Amino acid sequence: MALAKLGVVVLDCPDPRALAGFYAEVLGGTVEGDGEWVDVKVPGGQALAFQAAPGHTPPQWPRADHDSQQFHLDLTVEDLDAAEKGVLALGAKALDAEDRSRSFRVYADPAGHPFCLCAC
Amino acid sequence: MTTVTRFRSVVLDCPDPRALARFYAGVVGGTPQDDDPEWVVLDVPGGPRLSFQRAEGYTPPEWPRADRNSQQFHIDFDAGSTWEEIEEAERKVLSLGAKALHAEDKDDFRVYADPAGHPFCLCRIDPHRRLPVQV
Repeated sequence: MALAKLGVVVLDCPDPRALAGFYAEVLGGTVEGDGEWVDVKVPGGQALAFQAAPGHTPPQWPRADHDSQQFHLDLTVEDLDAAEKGVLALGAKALDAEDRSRSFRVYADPAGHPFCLCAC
Repeated sequence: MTTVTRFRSVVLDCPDPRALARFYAGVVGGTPQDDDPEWVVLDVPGGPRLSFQRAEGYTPPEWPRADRNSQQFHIDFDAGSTWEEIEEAERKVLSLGAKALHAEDKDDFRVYADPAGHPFCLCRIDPHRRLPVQV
């Protein structure tokens, strides 16, 4: 039996408002709040939050032994090429996106957190 | 942006996906799909998917530092609206293998590490501020 409900997935970053803006565009949510903690509410979807982490060092993907990503988000899309264009225009960087035969591609968000676009 | 993405999974790196999936199944319910020891999926009832992927040489976060081996992400769990419910949830997560990191009650949350070392919070949530059930 569950002892808790999964509430919010929280990402550390240097600029919560900026990173919240990125994910609100990507997922179609709305940004709420300012300062140290900013929420993104996604209609019918998982809520995200962004907290300021002074001195934040981004992950060194793909290493796991030091400055690991620890977590990443998988996002489902219908069209990988169109979604790629969109996330790159918003400030994401491609990490592993050259293999066009695969059903997923890996990017880093503007704070350096890896995430995947998945057509699966 | 014209692109529409939908949230699919929150994926946690760890040394033993089956073991960590069992821990989170104990916290939020669900049954892990653990045929593949490298990638285990937990469909959270009323919520998103949690996935667990094996990371060779995995090093856990050094919470609370942000400049090196940062947690990068954490999950906030709604453990109820009363301190009695938080106490009960705390007893259970500790019995499942979590460790307390920060458990002062000046805030409406307490911080723990899961068995792989990822920090998470048990939060006391005002019923009026409770998130709607995810679909």
